Amino acid sequence: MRNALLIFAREVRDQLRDKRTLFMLIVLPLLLYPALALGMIQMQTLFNEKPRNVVVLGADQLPETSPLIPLESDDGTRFQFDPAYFDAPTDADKLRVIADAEFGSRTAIEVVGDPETPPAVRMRAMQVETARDVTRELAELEKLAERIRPLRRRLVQLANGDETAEPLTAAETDELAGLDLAADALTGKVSNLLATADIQALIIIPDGFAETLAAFNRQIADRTAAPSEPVERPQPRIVQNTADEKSTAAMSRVRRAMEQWEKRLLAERLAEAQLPSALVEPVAAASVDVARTEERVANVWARLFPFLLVLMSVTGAFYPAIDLGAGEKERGTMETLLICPATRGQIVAGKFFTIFLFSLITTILNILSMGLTGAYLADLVSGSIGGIGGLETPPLTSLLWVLLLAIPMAAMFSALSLALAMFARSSKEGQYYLTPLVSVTIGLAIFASFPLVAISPFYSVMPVVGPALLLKGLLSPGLSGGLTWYLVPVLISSVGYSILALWWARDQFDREDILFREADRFELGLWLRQLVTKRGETPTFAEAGVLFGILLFLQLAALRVFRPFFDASTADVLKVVVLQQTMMFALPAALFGFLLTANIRKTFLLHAPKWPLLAAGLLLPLLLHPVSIEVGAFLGEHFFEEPPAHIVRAAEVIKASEVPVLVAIAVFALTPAICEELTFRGFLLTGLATNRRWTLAIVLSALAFGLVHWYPPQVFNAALLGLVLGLIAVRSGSLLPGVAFHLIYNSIEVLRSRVTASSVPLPDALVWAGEDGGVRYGWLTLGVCGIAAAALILWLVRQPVSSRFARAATVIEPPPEPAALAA
Amino acid sequence: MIVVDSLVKEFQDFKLGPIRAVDRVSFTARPGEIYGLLGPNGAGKTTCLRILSTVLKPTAGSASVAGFDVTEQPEAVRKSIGFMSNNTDIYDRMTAAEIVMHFGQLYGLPMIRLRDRVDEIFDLLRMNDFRDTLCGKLSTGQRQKVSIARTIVHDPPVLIFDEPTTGLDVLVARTVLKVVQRLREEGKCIIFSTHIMREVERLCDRIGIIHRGRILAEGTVDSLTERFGQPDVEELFFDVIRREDPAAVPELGAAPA
Repeated sequence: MRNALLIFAREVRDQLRDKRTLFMLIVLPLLLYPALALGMIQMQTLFNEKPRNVVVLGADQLPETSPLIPLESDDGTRFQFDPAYFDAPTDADKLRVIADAEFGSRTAIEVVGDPETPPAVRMRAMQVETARDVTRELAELEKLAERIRPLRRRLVQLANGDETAEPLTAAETDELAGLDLAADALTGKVSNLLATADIQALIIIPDGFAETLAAFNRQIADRTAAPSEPVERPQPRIVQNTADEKSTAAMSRVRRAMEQWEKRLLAERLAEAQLPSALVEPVAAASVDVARTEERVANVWARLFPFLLVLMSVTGAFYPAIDLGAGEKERGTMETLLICPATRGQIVAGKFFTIFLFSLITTILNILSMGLTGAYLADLVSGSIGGIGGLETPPLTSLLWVLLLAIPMAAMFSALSLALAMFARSSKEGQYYLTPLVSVTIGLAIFASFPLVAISPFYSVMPVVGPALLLKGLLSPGLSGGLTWYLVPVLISSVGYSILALWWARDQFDREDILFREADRFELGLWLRQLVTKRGETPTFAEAGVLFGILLFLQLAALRVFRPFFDASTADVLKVVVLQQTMMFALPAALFGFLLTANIRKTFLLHAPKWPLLAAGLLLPLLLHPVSIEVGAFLGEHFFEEPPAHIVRAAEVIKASEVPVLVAIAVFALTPAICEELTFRGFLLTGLATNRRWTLAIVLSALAFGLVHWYPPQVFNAALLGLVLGLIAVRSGSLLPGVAFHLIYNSIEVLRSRVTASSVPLPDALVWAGEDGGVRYGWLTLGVCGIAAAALILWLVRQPVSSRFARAATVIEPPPEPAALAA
Repeated sequence: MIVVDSLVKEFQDFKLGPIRAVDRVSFTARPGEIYGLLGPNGAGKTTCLRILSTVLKPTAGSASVAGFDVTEQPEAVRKSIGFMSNNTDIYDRMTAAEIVMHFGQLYGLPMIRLRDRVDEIFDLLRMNDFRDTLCGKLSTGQRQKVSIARTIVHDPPVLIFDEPTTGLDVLVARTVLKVVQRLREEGKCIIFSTHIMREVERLCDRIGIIHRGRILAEGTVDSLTERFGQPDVEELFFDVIRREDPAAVPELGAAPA
């Protein structure tokens, strides 16, 4: 402990003397956010939105009572949208209206030809003329569209399987292609015309618009309008280019103005017909926001803080870690440290706490700096436009929660970064590992920031997601009640992940090839050849890891490939299950075994077990089944949502009456028993047990076994059963007890799902009927089986590791064997 | 006291497969004696000494330092040796005094004794004028002195110097050799690895000539020159290696391979 403290103190002092670290971790966050804020304010004042050009053709056809673009100047040349149509009256200035009414009956050529015309007017005349061209092209386009439409409609009908539709002849297909091309060219021409004339929006008012409108209003007032007939009337058209940002910006304003204008016309119409204005609003629901200001404030921070917390702890941990790990190797001081009396564990501890401290400081400084800057900014602008999105000083309790959750987050990232940094041979290599680490982390953080994702027991034990979601929940107003107990799983799992990562970091110190890695030349071809030709008897840890990665990938792919089949017939589902088991588990594991290992028997533990262990494999599933089923049911009911469709479908098929019992057992019990055992207790377990780490191998193979089950309650259940299966395999050195366990367990499950509780005449303490009438285990069964199972597992734990299994584990670093010298 | 018995160390090379860097090496070094490990670059000197410093584990064979086994009691071994090589650099962002103090503390020296010890070493090596300078700003010679101070701060019974004069000017190299001599007079057991013949002649009581991981000849300098009939250590060295591996010592004027 003293040595760890000494190393910690030295590392901290060392980091504090490094100007770059200090700048990155402390000065930068303090300056960054104020500088950003200042920049934003500067940009805001500098950024003046330029007015956009809106050409109105047929301006003289607009009604005069409620003008859309009233005349602005006395000489009849300047038009403008009525400022009353906008939220902020000054917005009207953001649209420059060019109306053809300005020039009366004169053509552009006449206006331009007049030597006395000022340049601005000449420009407007050109724009109006272009707009007229556009109108003509649009008419052409409409003609094309009319020819295209019936052909397209037939195509759609054919695609939908409508047999009344007539298939397109070759000539028609050609015609359609030609028309499409022509329409496309014409559209391009129009957008070019608009762009060159700098027109962002074009409003075309048809002839006789005002008169038709007035006439219709009168009809309504006289109650002579036919109620149900569609009204033929000239409609204005608005032309825009959604691919052009300027055009989109102008259009959103134009549309708002037109909506307001339409409301005013409607009011006019109602007034003329002497109808109440409430006529068109039969419901008029009013929304009431009950969020208090501080709650709205909290909500913004609830989304921002978790993300920031994750990002800052990972970067805050990574850079010091690289300096302390790879940097130390690079500077040649690692060996100096290794020859001092401190143990490897003490060195790792000293370094870990240094990184942890800096990660924590960075996180806290960043969040404080951002919070204060945000508060200041909000204070600054709140006078003018009433706050920006509720960004105000975060409440003090929020900051306290952030501080609390920064601890597990920083711990996990510090441990992980240290392990990566120790693995790297140079700082440069270390930097390469940052990208994948940050990508995965940010992916998880983004997931946690989705609005509807809330913390659940499953999420609470996930790395990054757990703390981020808990923080989000705690900061969200009104939701934080009852969340505090989640601190327990979040903290425990974070500590667990940290310990795992630290263990990995510590492990690097025992690996001479990593500690003294010289620049090895690497050739892919040679490496692949050696992998196969110089294969070991049994798989290595890394090979097992790769197989698991491939299995996960295959499972993910299978979700897409196999899922549609689950909607199919019962026979198809049976086939898919067998196919999935053999292709997704057995085949990859067998391939790996034959390619990468020399001793298939050892790799897959194909030995006869001792009979007491085989007996344990036969007995344990009987005892564990009730416990496992009830735990799974409890989890499913209380913590998790509905199972996904394919699991429901599989459950239906298991108990389907048209499937004989023996077939169901063969598909759902025998196949998984063989395929999954070969994979998880065969290749994976022996590989993971490299260097005789029995416990680690059992835990990791169980986790892997759990993870491939996807649906959370099954993940949990399978992982627990995986522990027992791994234990039996290590104690017996044989795959057979595991296969027997798996076969019996799944068979009982098949049988259980095929009988109803009412057909089993037993007291409730033993067996009772579940909601669907299925068999559920009573308290007496649970108690007896639970105790017996616990005793049997305890007996297994006390058994020695089978010598067969011990021989199957690859040993990368052989311990010194003086006897070897004699040979 | 260092006892090395049939030490073997193999490495896995990506292209060449297993390589024996140290091949059945045995020797003994006694207190008050400097044992010279003499060999060309890549002969296995550093690997052998790294096993003694416990940073590498032997593939086979055993070694003990001051009565502690290097694989069974690595912490006790590390406590009782001072180890210096080209791979044990010092921290740039610490001052000379801080480094020596830091390692003194790691070796478990009580603070009062450590202060006196540091003063004593700084006087001995004449390091007081750069006592509080950051090591990143020191010259190569000054850095080497800091390294020596770091090596001897806990007054260990066993000292291992792996090519300690590489890259030093004559003046500093002389100081280093004098310190090593003085340590012998104090009764320390010392291993001194080098490929510089004059240092061997001046310092070593006994030498082992190591080439390709194996010790080819061992004994006092006088007994070896007599046995091989060579006038000085340099000729002796060439002769020993030539007998084992003629290709390794090119004759003058021989056509380059």
